[in-house]
Amino acid sequence: MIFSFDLLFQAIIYGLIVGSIYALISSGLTFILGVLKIINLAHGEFLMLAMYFAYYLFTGFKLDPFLSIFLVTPLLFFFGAFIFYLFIKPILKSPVINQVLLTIGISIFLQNLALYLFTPDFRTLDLSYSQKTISMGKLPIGVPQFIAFIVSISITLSFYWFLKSTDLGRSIRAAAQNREAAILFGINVDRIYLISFSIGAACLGVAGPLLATFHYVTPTVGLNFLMTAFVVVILGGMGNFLGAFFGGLIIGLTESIGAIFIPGPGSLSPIVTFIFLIVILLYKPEGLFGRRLR
Amino acid sequence: MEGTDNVAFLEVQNLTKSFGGLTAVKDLSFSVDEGEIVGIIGPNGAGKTTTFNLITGFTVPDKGSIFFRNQSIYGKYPEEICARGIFRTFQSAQSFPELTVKENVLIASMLRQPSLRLASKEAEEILVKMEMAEKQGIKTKYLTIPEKKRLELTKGLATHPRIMLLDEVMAGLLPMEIDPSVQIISQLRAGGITFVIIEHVMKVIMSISDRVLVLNYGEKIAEGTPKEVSNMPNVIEAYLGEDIAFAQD
Amino acid sequence: MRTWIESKASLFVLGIFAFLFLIPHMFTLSSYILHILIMIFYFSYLSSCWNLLGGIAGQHSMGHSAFVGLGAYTSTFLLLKVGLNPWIGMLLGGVVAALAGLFIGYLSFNYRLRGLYFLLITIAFAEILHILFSNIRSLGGASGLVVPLKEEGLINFQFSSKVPYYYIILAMLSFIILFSYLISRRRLGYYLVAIRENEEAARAVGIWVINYKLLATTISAFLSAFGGTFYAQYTYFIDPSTALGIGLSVEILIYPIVGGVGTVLGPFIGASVLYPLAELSRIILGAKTTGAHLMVYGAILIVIMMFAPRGVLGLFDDIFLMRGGRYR
Repeated sequence: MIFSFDLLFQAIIYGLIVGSIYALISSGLTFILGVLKIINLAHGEFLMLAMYFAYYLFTGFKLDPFLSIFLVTPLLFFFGAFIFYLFIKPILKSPVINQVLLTIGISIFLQNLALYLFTPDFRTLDLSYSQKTISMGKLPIGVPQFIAFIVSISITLSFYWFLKSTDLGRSIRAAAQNREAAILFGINVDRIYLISFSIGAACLGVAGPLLATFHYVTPTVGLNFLMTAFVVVILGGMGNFLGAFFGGLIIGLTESIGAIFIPGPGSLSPIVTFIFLIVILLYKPEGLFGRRLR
Repeated sequence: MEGTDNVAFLEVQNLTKSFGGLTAVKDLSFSVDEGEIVGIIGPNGAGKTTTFNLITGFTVPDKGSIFFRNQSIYGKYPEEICARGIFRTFQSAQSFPELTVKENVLIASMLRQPSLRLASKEAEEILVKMEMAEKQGIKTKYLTIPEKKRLELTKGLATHPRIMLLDEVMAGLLPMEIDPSVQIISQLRAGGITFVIIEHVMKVIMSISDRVLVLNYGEKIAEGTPKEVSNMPNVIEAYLGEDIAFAQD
Repeated sequence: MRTWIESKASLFVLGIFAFLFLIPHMFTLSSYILHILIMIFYFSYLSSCWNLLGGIAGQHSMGHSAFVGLGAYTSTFLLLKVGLNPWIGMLLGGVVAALAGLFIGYLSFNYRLRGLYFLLITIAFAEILHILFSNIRSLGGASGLVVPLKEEGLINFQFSSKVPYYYIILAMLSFIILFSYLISRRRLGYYLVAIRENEEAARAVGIWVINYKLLATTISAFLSAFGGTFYAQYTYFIDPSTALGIGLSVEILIYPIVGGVGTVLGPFIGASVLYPLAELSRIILGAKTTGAHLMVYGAILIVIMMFAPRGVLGLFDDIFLMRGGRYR
């Protein structure tokens, strides 16, 4: 175990950056979970699609991914609405396992659709500034990563503000807490569900292009992030937005710091995340911040 | 009540439970003698169901003691408490939805019967006794609420209880359904089962209880015979604003 | 109180199985068809083992590949290292898996994990094993283990023809179905169903929920491991992604849900319907492009979940509306 403070510092920075993206991805997931009480196992595939959109917008139209966020996000929003209306809405009252399998079906479908359309090749975006770095002290940080970090944090915090301070945000929170009461208050819960699911998907419309600036794009990329997103959601408390935010950062940090201390190839580091998940499930299933569901 | 050498059948002392910042039950003490029918009344949220949960192990108390037939049941699991002879019903009439009425009772009978055959036989007998035999092949998810409540009672009998804790077993019943149910409880008590009954339907409580406990905000505010309690000013005040008709004896 | 339908159904099932046993005698089947049938029985077997915990007791595990993999790895590893007979290895694998099941069950049930939480912890557990086995070189790492060729025969659990494997897995499947059926008529089955239907009500009638869940988990794990050893001996090769991956876990639970939740025959029916369908679409579409056939698979899943949510048998059950809940 070669340890140095430089290494630790680097791990912390990297962990925070990756963590911020986890936070954004997980926000969408926890949002859907909190409001609709549905486990969207196709969440990773939505992300994957968003990444491909960004990729093709760049290779086809030279649109910088950070700019394509403005296009991809509404695209994902409507895609989410589409999926919700056709498939999710009818099964909202079904048993959990059925919902799980349905979203698994969607996930399998989308994954293989991508496989069919795009082939399994790993693709990367070659931006003019892909290799540029800025320095924090002695540490070089990739420019795309840094910008992604800033954007993630901003979006996540604005989302939080939106939930707290706007009328729509309040209606959503009301519907999430108590569906019947919300109906009595005249809130159109069906519409809220539709909007919430779509917003959850739209989060990925932001995260996708951000990720694509420094992470490879492939049909199966959704799976890894899905698992991590679930851990974050549980850690932060299901439906708890701020929880997802801090949870994302925490998981990002544990992964990268854990990688220093675990010997062998980096492929062992997800174990840390899973053990973390088990501990949380056993001792604080409602998450560090949140309340338990069902 | 009496001194320490007459230990009650069910003895609850200083029972306390808080959820987060809310104290659901506070320093509750009472006892139940064998063969009694004790009623528990109180406004909504007074802690009545929580008390049942605490006694039967579904919720662990913060402090206090619970003794049944001279043995502590504090901290024990509901399964064990049932085996010891305390059966409780749920406010929402719980059953096994996809199973038939007969299967529901059968499963309860299995607690005391060593073989499936004996359990099945006993289940059938109890169903007849409780006049549910004709519905025995129907899945319980299709039953009406009163039917589910009667089913719960039937299941309870199959566990050979010494004491039954009934949580609003009359709620949702039509007036003409209440009398037979009260009759059944009387008969069962005559057969040796002790009862503690939570009820909102005052007519029931007043007509059948030997004693009544009144809870409000988690505390016992009154205790006595039905007639005594219905005349206590603090009881009337607790119910002020609630639409309850007190039955005069 | 058996209805005409029920008693006829039992005979019908017996007839089917008799037929299945006789197939290799009556027809000469191509190696490919035999393989398909073996795979159908194999997944039916694994899913039926899962069903003890997932369908009957209602505790949906998405980590059963852990038990399958532990079985496969135990027997194969011992075969490689000390030449231990695979049948004994199979039993030992079962014990190892049972212990693992006890462990994860003890943790989960004592901490009252249910539904989604239980699902997640089983995924986590299986994935930890998956990652561990992928990285431990002495267990073959990511490349897996190859089963050494021995003299052919029942003793060594190796055959050059597929037919003996067919009989073995069919026998295993018949066993687990019979086992499930017998349990269904006894206390254990009723108690597990009660737990599935309403845990609180079960506790209120004296059923020790934790203990029975643990029992179901242990038996399910033990038997699942046998499937792992079979697979290893059949394909002569195991690796972490096939034996311990989440894909296997998901597949194992798809068949029972599609076939009929909580029923004895559900897993078999589910596998018999879905596996050939998947294979068919692979033949038709898979040749020229990657992914197209799995798209069909995903679509089928979606359609079934939306229109036949209680599975194939559930559709039939809705016809005989108020019949008893004992799973068939």
